[in-house]
Amino acid sequence: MAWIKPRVAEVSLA
Amino acid sequence: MDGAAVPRFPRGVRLREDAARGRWVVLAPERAFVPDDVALEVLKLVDGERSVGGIADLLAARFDAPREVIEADIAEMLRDLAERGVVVAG
Repeated sequence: MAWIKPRVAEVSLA
Repeated sequence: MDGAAVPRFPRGVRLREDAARGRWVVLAPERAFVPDDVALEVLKLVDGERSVGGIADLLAARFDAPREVIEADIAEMLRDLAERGVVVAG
């Protein structure tokens, strides 16, 4: 499986 | 967060599957975070026992990239999450 730099996005709970 | 650091989710933060939307989310008080596919694989291995290096070992066996690249990317991601209070290093 290809490795892509992992990212985590904050989402607005509103 | 270096290779020897042992990341964990602090009290009140948890990784949960959001079945309704077909995705996983990290739920924290008043905030939520959505990991991409690779980040999710990292977060699933955060158990308060594995070190960053240990997580890199496991993922290096599954992903097509040099282990040192994987560890550096994991460390950077977890450092960012630690700054937001979503993980802490033990």
